[in-house]
Amino acid sequence: MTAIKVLNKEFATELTDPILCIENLSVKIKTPEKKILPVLTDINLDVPKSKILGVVGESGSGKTMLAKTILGLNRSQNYEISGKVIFNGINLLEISAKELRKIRGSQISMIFQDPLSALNPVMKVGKQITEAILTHLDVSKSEATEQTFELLRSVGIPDPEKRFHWYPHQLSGGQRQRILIALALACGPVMLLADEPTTGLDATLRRQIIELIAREQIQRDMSVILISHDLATISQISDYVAVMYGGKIVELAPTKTIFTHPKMPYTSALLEAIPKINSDTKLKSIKGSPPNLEDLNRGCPFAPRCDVAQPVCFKINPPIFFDEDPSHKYSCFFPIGSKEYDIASEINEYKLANEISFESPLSENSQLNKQDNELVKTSEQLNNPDIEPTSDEVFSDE
Amino acid sequence: MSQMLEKQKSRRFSPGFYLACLWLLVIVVSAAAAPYIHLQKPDAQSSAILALPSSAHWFGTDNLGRDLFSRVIYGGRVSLLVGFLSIAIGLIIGGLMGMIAGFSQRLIDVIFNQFSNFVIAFPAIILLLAVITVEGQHLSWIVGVIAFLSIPVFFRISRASTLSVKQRDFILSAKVLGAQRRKILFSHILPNILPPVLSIAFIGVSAAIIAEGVLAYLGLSVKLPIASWGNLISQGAQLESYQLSADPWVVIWPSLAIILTTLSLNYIGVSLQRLFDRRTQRL
Repeated sequence: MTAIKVLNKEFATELTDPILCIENLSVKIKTPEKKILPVLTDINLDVPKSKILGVVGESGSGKTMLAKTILGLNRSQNYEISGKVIFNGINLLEISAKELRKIRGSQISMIFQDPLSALNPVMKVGKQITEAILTHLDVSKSEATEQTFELLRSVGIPDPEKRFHWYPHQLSGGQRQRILIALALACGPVMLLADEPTTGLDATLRRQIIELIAREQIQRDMSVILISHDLATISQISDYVAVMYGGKIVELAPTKTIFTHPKMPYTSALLEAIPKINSDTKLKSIKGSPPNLEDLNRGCPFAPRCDVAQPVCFKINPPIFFDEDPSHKYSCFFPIGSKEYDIASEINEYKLANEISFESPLSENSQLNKQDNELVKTSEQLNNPDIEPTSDEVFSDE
Repeated sequence: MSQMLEKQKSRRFSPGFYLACLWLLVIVVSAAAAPYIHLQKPDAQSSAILALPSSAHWFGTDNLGRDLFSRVIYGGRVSLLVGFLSIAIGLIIGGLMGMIAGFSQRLIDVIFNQFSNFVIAFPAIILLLAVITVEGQHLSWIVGVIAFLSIPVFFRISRASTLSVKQRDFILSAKVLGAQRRKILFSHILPNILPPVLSIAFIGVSAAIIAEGVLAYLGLSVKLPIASWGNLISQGAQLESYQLSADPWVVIWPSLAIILTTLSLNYIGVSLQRLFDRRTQRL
């Protein structure tokens, strides 16, 4: 590992002027059963100014929790939050609810996944936007209405003077999402969090909405965090991509680099799961399922599903590395394209070919080990009917 | 598709609903306009005692020769006032308490919940008897006690509805846009919990009218020369049996008024509830 430098301040980019710095952010949920689940672990992330940062990951990887934490939506006794979220020199985790309310909407805004439920069903859409404007800006009602028309026009709502008086259920899905974007942009935020803004839409609309977000981002010179589980969506407009897994950021790079040279095996698995029209190879899926937060071990969260995982991956959580290109950071001991990766994959192939069981690197009381032992026990029972013959086997003997 | 929609629209309310509304309209308007339309004085006695319905006295007269038609209409003034006013007060207080408790869900939720449990656990009739024997048979006290007793009903419904509306994304969206708690409560939560609360209110009004009837039967409604539907029934029931068998109309008219009114109110309440349920199902 000589060519690889370890970075002390993880994922802190060399970007000159980040608008939002997340430092060592950890969020834990306290369950009613007094368990503590780590939802986000040691997140270090700089959001570049006037750029679009895409955040991808499977369901449950902590994407939405990240957005909620930035906006302080999970401030309650059920969450244990540590670290820093610095926005314009202010730590958003420390300021009072009142100060936070001033920042919400006017500085940082958010678009939600389901536009129907994110709009009040019994309030005219125009009024919802006007109210948002009146909350933050010191303008008269007629000025706010004028601004609303302007906003509706800019997000591509035809005939805004008429649509102003419509209720959410009278609008189509795409129009609702446009209204929601207009609502989020109403007070001219400098940062926009878009939480899966295209999930509920069909493919053609998806493209339009993504383009709308990109256009508004350029026009307003905003920073955008675009959250999605869909790499293809993100790749269309984002400048950087952060890949999340099991509550950690496992890779961060400019969009192009992520697509051409993924380092983390998880990222490459995600890329292989994108269908390609002109290829004959079967679409690959990632074996296993996303990690259960209760069972996260000390090591790399992806290790149990990783093809090249070695004993060390289960024991130590890999720090953040980067090599020649400092803008490309990853958290993996065996990055794709390195000598270590080749060796590790050869070892695992050899083990697979010779049916050498993978010696469990975990301590005996760990969850995974227990499961393994149980599996071994049950398989022994099945193979050896003398121990405890089940009724099925008795019948088959006759 | 449009045909289906039209069918649905026309089936939104049954004819019974409109009939109930019509009855309610008639009874409310006549009660409100009673002093202005040409009616016989409800307290004016005449020589015709226990007269059967005739053109001079449409509903007949009671044992003091008072015109029953006019007494039933005037009685409606008291009964409807008790019904609507007490429920309106209970709705505003209970509804607000429920909204605040459901939204904040802190100590205030516990306190309001305990208060509502206490009111429910307290025997209603004993409270009514106690307050009215101490404070006298004033309309304001009768309204006040029934309003107080109706608070838990509205508290619970409004709290439960608030809890479910609070989970919806548009509340989160309003928060994200920096809306103040008061604004979220009154412009986002209130309009969304109003339908279920209002439909229960109609049923509550009919319960309050019946409660007034019960009080009257115990002799605890408004003081006697004043007519209320409950008073009319209890007065009629106190007649000698030969008088009652000669002229049962004395009790039939006010009973009919109570039955039809509470029936209409319940019907309207249930129809509204169905409408709102269907609407929320579609959302």
